[in-house]
Amino acid sequence: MSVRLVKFRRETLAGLDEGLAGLLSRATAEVGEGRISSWAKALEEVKGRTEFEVPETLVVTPYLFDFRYRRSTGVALTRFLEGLKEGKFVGTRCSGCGRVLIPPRTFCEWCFRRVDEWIEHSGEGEVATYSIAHIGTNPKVRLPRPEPIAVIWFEGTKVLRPNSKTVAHAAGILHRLGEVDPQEIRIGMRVRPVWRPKEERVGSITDVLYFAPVRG
Amino acid sequence: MSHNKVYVLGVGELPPTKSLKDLDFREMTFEAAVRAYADAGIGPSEVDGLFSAELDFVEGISIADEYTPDQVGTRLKFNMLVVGDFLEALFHAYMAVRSGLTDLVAVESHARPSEIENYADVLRSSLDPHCLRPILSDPYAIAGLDARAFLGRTGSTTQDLSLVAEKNLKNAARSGGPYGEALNADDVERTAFVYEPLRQKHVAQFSDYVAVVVLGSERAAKGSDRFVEIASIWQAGATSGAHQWMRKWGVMEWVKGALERIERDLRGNPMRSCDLVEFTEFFAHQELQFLSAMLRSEGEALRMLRSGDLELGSALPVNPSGGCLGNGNSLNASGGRAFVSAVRQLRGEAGNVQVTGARAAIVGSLHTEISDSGTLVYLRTGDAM
Amino acid sequence: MRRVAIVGAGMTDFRSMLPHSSPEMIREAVKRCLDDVGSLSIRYVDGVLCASAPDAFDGYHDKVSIANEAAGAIGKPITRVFVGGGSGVAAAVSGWYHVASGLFDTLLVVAWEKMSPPYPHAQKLFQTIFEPVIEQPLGPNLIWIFALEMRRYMEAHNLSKELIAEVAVKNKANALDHPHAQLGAKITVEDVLRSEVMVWPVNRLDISPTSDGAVAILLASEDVARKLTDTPVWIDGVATCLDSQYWTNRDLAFPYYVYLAAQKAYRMAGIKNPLKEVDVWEPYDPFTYKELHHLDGLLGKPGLAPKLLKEGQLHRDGDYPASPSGGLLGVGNPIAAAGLMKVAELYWQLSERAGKRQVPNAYVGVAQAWGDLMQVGTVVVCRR
Repeated sequence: MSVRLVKFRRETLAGLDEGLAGLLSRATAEVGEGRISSWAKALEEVKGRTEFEVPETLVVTPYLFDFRYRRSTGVALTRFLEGLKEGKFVGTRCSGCGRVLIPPRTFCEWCFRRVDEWIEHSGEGEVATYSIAHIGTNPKVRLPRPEPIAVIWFEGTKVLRPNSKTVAHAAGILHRLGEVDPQEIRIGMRVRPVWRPKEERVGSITDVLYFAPVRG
Repeated sequence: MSHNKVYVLGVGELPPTKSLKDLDFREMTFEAAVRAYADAGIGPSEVDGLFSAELDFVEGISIADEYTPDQVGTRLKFNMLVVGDFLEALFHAYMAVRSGLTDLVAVESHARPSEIENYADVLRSSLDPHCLRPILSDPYAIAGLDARAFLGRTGSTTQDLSLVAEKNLKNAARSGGPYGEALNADDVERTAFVYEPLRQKHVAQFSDYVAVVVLGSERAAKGSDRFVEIASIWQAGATSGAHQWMRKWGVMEWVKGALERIERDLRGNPMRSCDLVEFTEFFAHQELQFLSAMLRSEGEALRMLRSGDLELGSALPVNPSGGCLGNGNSLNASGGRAFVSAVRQLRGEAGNVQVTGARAAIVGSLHTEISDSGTLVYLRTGDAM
Repeated sequence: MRRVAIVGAGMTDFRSMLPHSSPEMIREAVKRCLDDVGSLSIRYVDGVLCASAPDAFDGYHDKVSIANEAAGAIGKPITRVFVGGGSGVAAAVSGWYHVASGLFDTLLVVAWEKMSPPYPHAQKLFQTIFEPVIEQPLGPNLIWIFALEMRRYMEAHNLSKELIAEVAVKNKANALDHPHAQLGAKITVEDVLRSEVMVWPVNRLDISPTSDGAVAILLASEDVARKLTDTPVWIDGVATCLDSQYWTNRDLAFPYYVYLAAQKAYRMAGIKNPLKEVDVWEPYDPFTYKELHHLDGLLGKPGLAPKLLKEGQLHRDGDYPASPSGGLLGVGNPIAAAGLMKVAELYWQLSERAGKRQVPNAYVGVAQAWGDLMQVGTVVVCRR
């Protein structure tokens, strides 16, 4: 029983369209012999546990997904990003339910109607919930420093419905926390946005470096 | 045991366009939903649920259904996402209403191919990674193979494909479709080969599109005066998996099972009783393949094409809207455009491309541009209640 | 409404890496399911409804074509539903209306997942579930969102990690009695707390890891069901409920969408007091706290599930046996297949074929799955 990784011959790749050839060689390079031993173990483990045929040789074909999109940010998010560039949070307000909507949308999903107003918010608020990341997108690799993240609810936007089963709503976003010891983070802690210097802002959520505790 | 009949109570769309830039996908879907509810004369609070048709890599988001309910007003309602095309979601919605689980539902699909930079790479990834992806630079070559097989089987030529293109491009020029133009078959024959034997004008170009349709049971339809009934609908899967080994080239095998089913429901061949056909012909030969399968005769389909019997104003107009060749390839939403066109025909609202006295229509769509799998619907104007 | 029953079920082993291809896994599950019905020929299956979570895992765009041949669907209807992690139970819901509509007398429902292909790990692909414009640039991973919810849930009901860890202990122990389980083990609360912190407060043993696997169940209309089996298990209540995409605007302490879905399913099944009338619970448990969070939603009382856990009532011999199968934490988490595994478990429990996992006097069961951005609840209620 063995496991074999498919490798494309140079002549084969040379005969292909440039885009596809590039994709296949990058795929082979990035995968390399990765996980071949894991596949061999998996093959061994399944023997005798299934009434179906188990292959003598397992062939693994590398492939790369590299799909690119050019998305329109539409009406609402475009204004939101422009607001970030100017150092403020732009939102909308629905006159039906009275909610402030950040991230902004041009329609209210509760009332199903177009929103009437655009508003600005300083971004000051509280930590609705938080967490501390010790890994990134590969669970086997530990981050050099644990990174605190949070859902921040903006001041004055909370809406509660009088029913124990329904849930609270507020304008709020996902972002990182900074200038804070992870041990001192509390739900309900007051925070404010820390902006990049004006000249570095490009109209992105990362124009906010992080949210930091309001001290004093 | 009786099951509910299912009616189309309203339609809403943003017309197909080469590139929709000002609105994001949420905002465009909201507009279509507002129009659909207004058309149906209902408010979204009356809607029980949503059936949407999206694909992750068309959206550029794994998991597409996260972003569906809000803009259609179905937050906290029954929601189901079908990974396929609009008519497949419609099939699910139809069953849900028929079963009595839901009474009034929305069906939605949108696509913005203008925002996908390398769609060919996306579609190639629907094919087998071991034996097909490493050799197919462009997955549309599959359509070229299929077209070649069709021409071979039937003794037809690219001239016939060009007749289809001429008809659909002209129809779209009348209907306002983004790719409508007055070309004749000879002009089309002069365009370059792209996936031989397919020429450039035999291949639908992309367009952005969104459709929202409201379906309801008889109870929900009461009092409405403009409804259309879904008399029968059936979906059929592909004859081959992602590797295409078992594919019957040149033929739309999927139609067989769907047609038998619809014939049973209608007690007769739907082609005899319908007034028009709308089909998602991503490639010109697919319209002929579809008709051949529906008529159970390739010869008959070609004869009708060549004698002009598929034209607007003739015996059986096919794609009076201009089809995909004239309105664009809107990927999974294309079937929605065909469906909305057909509904408008049956309500007498098709303007410049109205088929006079249209009372019944066949709508068909393919699962993807290159798969031998699709959905067939038979629509007719509802009888007085 | 036309009554619909589950008449058979089959599944593959759940493993972190299965060397069989997805079509082969599907075929294995389908064959075992048809054998379970009594070596039923595939000819008697009118159509197929399949479910599999993000296309990205298998490495296919539009992966229904993977299931065509393997599920015997050539020339038959076959479509695919996908509502994130809720897909496995959503497949049973969709299967229900296929048969209840009268269009299908028999329907094969198949769910599969292959999470082993992505290299180096499936986690990176999860980044694309976040909002592309304002969330993805922050470089999130999927565990962030669970950790945020877990922290909020702990705060709302003053829960300790020790208590929550008991769910892993219970489910992995339950899974020792499941023939196809990947993660059956005898562990302790300390093992969970000592496992490495991923995204605090989530530790490694709080999570079910990636898996490969497939499950198939056969649905039939009432007339046909009674001909095929003496122990049909009726699907009497079905529902799905999807909340808004704006998850950062919602309080995550209570899964309102699970609660609403459950209420609809109970009403349809004629259940007035689920606490009294339901014998077996299979809530979706990709993370330890999730089982409790979802049970709160199913029971309709925020904070009740942790109390019941503390009292030992969620064990197989308790009053509210939860995840007697071993759940995702014990059997494994090939996403869509895991949800359908819970429905299959109801079938085995209510037809009294669950072997050592059998909950006594199991007449009514509830299976639930969840998915997306803390958004969707899918529920089925089954009855003997």
